[in-house]
Amino acid sequence: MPQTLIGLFGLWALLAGPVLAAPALSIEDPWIAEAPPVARVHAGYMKLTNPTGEPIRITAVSSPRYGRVEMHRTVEKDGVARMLRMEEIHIEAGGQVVLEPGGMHLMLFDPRAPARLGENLPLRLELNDGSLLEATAEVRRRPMPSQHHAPHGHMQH
Amino acid sequence: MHPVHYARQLQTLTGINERRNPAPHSAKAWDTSYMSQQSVTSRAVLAAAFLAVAAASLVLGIWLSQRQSTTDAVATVPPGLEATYLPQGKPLRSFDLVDHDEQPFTRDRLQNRWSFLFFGFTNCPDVCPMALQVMRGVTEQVKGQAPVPQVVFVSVDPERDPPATLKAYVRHFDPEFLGVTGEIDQIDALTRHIGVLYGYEDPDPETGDYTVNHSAQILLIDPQARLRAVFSTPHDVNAMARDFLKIRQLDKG
Repeated sequence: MPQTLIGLFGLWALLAGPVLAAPALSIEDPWIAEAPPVARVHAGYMKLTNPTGEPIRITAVSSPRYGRVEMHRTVEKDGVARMLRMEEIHIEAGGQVVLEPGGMHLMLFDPRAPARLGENLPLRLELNDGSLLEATAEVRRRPMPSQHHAPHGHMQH
Repeated sequence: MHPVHYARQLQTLTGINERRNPAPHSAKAWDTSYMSQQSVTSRAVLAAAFLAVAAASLVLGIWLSQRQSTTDAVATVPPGLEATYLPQGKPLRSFDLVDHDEQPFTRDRLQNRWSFLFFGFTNCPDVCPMALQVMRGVTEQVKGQAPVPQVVFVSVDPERDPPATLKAYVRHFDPEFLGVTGEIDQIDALTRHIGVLYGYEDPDPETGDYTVNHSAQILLIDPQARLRAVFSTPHDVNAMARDFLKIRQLDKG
């Protein structure tokens, strides 16, 4: 009898494993900056927290509202701003990564419709273990650049 | 059409920015209790080191002041300004561009009023919208205290930013903003002498998309069409508005 129970438990754990083992990456405050209707590229921002003991990597992002999504980092050197494309976003064990204006951001190409203020747009993040995380990004007006309200520091490295 | 690739090594405003934050060269403070424990030899060595630093500082100071006195467009920081300020201003050379209504945009459009100038492109998701946003904030803040400065967004990506696109783009930020573009050689005629850099990255082989690297500074042009101040990132709407009003005052006074 106990063996059967153990066996059943084992079977259940095996089947439920991938779901139970899904990384607990937390996505906070995802938002997309409102952009001119003529703009072909929008910017997405969010706060990512990894409370687990293992690093988590975002390997791809997509959205049914956009042709494609890339991950980029704004870098400035000698006054010249460049965007570096990132193949993945790495969040270390117990770490936090912030995508914010002037730093890392999602580059959302070819909007299928203008992003209207207040709209909630779906995003899908693909993680290194193959799992998918859904998020909804609110379309917001950009905050006015001001150095009195820079909570996380200006640049992400 | 293939985008033209530029890798320009032009004189940048870096030199000016560096002078804005000179490296400290004062000697370290002395801890006398430490000194009393030292042998005479060690003290002599320390004294010699101090003299060497002092001498080097003196030489550096003289050299820097010589450099400053021989250049026209010297950058100094009058108290209370965060921007890099050019008291004499650096005159713009002439150029032949076109505005978003397809009207000629030449140097005379920058005369008789103050203007903010920013160089970017509409396929820019992060830096350009931030700059346009901050310039909108500044014009709003200074309204009532000064004639509102003209805001000009120059696209360094004329291939993808024809006048109609520029117009729709800039007017989203403020209906008074002006988009400007033109032939590459004319864009260069404007950027070259004021140290603004831009270049194109290789296009994505699948999509053909390319990104444009460009100076992120916001430039202030005075009513004599001279570069007068440079606002580096991170931009701050309050500091910029304050600086603009102060610089305008300096001009009058």
